[in-house]
Amino acid sequence: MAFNSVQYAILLSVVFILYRVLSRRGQNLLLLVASYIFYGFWDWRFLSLLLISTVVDYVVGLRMAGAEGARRRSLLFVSMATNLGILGFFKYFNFFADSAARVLETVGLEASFATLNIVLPVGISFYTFQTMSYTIDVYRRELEPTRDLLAFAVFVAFFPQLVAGPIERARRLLPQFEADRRPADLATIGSGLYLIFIGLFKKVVLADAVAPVVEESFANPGQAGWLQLLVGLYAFSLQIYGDFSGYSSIARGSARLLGIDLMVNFSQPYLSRNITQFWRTWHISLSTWLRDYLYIPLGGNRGRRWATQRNLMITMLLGGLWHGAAWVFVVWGFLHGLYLAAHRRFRARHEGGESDVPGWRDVPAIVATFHLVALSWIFFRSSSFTAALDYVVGLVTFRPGPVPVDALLLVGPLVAISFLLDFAQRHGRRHEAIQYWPAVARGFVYAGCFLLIVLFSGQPVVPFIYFQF
Amino acid sequence: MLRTRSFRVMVISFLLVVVAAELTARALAPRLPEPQRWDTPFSHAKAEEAAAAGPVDIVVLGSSIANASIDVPLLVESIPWAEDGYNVALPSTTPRQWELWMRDVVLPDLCPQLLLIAIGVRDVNDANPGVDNRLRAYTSSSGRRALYDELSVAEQVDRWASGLSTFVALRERLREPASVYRYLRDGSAPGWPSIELSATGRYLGFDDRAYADNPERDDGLRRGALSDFTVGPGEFGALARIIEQTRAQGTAVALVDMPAMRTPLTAILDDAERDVADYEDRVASLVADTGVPLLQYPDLVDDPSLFADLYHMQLEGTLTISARLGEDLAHLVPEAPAARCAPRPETGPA
Repeated sequence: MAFNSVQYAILLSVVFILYRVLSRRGQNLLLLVASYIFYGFWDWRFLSLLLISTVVDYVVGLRMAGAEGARRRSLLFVSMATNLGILGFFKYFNFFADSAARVLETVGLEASFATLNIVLPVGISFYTFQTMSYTIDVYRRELEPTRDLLAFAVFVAFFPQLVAGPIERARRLLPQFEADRRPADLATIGSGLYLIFIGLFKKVVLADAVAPVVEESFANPGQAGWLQLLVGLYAFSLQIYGDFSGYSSIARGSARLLGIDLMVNFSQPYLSRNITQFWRTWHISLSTWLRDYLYIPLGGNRGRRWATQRNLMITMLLGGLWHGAAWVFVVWGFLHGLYLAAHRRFRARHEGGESDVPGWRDVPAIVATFHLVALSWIFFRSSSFTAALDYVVGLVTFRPGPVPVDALLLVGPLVAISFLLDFAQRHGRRHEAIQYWPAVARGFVYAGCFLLIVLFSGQPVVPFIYFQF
Repeated sequence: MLRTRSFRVMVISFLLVVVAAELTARALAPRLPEPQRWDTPFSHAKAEEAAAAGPVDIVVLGSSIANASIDVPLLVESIPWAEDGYNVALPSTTPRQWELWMRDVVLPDLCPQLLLIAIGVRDVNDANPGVDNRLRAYTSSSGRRALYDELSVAEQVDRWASGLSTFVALRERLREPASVYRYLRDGSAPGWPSIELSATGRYLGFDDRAYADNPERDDGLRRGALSDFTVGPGEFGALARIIEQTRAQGTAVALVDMPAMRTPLTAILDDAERDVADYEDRVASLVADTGVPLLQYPDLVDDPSLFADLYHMQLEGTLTISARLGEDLAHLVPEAPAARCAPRPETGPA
C-alpha cells in the first residue's frame, strides 16, 4: 500500500477517526493492526519477519535488564544476529554469492554458488535498523527496556514510517507509544495535513513528473547526447529528493495526525554549502544512525587523522551497501566517503551552521556541492558500473546529441520550484514555513501546488524509490 | 477572529487561482486533441464515435489495410437497403484483437446488418512478435476497462473528476505546455495524435502517396508483421469465431482478400511460394468451414498506380476497390438481414 494510493487515504482516515475515541492501549492495538494490514498489502508472508524481529528484540531487551558482562554481550549478539541475519539473507545473499563466484573466476577457479530466487521484503533495511537501535541502546544502558510488548510491537511496525523511515530511535519514539496521548488539536491536524500535502506535492510533481526524463537518460547512456545526460542527471537529483523527502513528509504528517512526532529526515539538503552539511541534512535518520552505531564505535574522529578518514570511508561504504546489494551503491558510498574525507582535510575553520540562510556569497559553494552529489547519483541510479561510466564519459566528452527541449522545459521549472520551496523553509526556519505566510500568498501557493498535483496525477503510479531498500 | 478572517482570505485566494485555471482549460479545450483513453488514437476515436453514433447498416473490419483502402460511403451508395456505415478497422491489429473489438464495441454499439472483413497476408501471421504487446495495451486501456466496470477506485474518482472539471480532463495535454503551444500554432505536436479520419472512419493519410520501393520499410516488415511467417490456428481461429459470433446476432458476413503489391510483398516472406500457398489454403479452409462468401480482385494485384505502399491503397485504389466491393456486396446481400443488437457481455472477454 503506497502513500499515494486511495487505499492509504482510506486506511489513514479510518485509523484517524477510531484513534480519537480509543484509550492508549486501544490506540496502540489499532496502530498495530493498521500497520500489519499496511505491510501485509505488499506480501503478508513477510509479516513473519516483523514478528520475529519484534519478539526477539523485546525478549532480548527484557533479559538484558538483569544481565551483566558476557551474558549481556551474548544477548546483544542474539539480537544483532537475528536482525542482520534476516537482512543479510533477504538482501545480500545473492549479491555475495555472485561476487564470490566472480572473484574465484578471476583467479582461475570455477565456482558456482547456488543463487536463490529471493524476494526482497519491502522496508527490511529500515525496520531492522530501527529495532537494532533499541537493543543497542538498552545494551549501552541509554534506555530502559520496555515491558509493554504492544507498545514495542507498534514501535517496530508503526505504519507511517515502517517501509521507508525515518529510522526512529527507540528512546525517542518508544516513549510516545508508552505514554497517554491526547487527540491532536486543530493546529496539529492542520500542520499534519500540511506535511501530507507538501509530501504529495514533492512526490507527484517533483519526483514522478520527471521520472520519464530520468528513464530515458539512464536507459541508454552510451548513446545519449551530453545535454540529455545532464538534464537526466538534474532530473534524477530532483526525483530522488522529491520522492524520498516527499515520503518522509507524508510519514511525518500522517504520524502527527495520530499525535506522534517523527524526526525530521530532510532539511533542505541541496542548499548545503559543503558535503558535511549535505550529510547533516540528507536522510538524517540514517546518517545519524550510522554516526552513532558505526562511525563513533569505530573510533569516530578521536584518533589520528588517517584513522578518522578510514572510519569515514568504512561508514560511507557500508552506508552505500545499506541502500542496495550492488557494486554501484558501494561506489556511490565510496565517492561520498572520499568527498567527506577530503572536506574534513581541507575545510575552513568556520563554515556556519546547516540551518543558516544562504546568501549570494554561498551560491558557488552550494552549486559545487550540488554537482558533486549529482555526480555520485549517476552510480546510484545506473544499472551497472559500465552504464555509469558510459554516463560520465558522455557528459565529460560533451557527446553530441539533440537538444532535449521538452525535458528542459519540464525539469528546469521544477528544479526552480524545488529550490524556492527549500529556500522558503530555510528562510522561515521551519518545515511548515508557508503556513506562516500572509493569507493571500498562502492561498496562491496552495492553489499552485494543488493544480500541479492534479496536473501530474493520473499517470502510471511510480513506486517510492526507497521502498526497494 | 483574525485567524478566521485570514483563513477566509486564504480560501478565496485559493479558489481564485483554481477557477482561473479551470476557465483557461475550458477556453483551450476545443482547440486541443482530447485525452486518449484507449490504446491508440484510432481505437479511441472509433470507440467514441461508435458510442455516439449508434447503429449503422454496414461496418468494415480489418487492419490499416482496410482502414485506408475501403471507403464506406461508396459501399453504402451501391447497396440499396443500406443507409449508413462505418469503417471500424484498426491499424497494426490482427484478427485476435478484432475479435475483442467486435465484442467490446462494434456489435453492441453499431449493431451492423452487414460485416465486411478485409484480410491480407500481413494480418494473419501467428508468429507476429508485436501482437501480444498490442493486445495487452488494448485490454488494459482505461477506455476498454471502463466498458466492463473494471476501473480501479482511483480511476473511477479520476473519471468522475474529469466529468466535473475540464482542467482535470485535459491535464494529459496541459502538462506539456510546449506541445500545447506548438499545437495551437501549427495544429500538430510531436507525440500527439494527429489522425486524419473521414466522417465514416477511413484513414486519409495514404490518399495522396505514390508507390515507391522502400527497403527500410521492407526490412521492418521482415522483422515485424511478417517475421517467421506462420499461418495457424491463432489468427484464423479468431476469424472463424468472429464470423460465428457475428452471424449469431443475425448479421451477414463477407470476407475480402485485399489486393496488394503481392510480388514485392511475398518476396519478404521466408519461403514465398510455400507461405503464400499456406495462406491461400487457410483462407479456402475458412471459407469452406464457415460458408462465408469470399471476394477477390486478382486484377487489382501488383498495380502500382493503385497503391501507396505494399498493401495500403492510395485514393484511386480506394475508389476502385470500394466501388467494386459495393457492387458485389449488393448482389451477395440483396436485402437487409434484420440483425439484432447484442448487449455487451458483462465481463471483458480475455
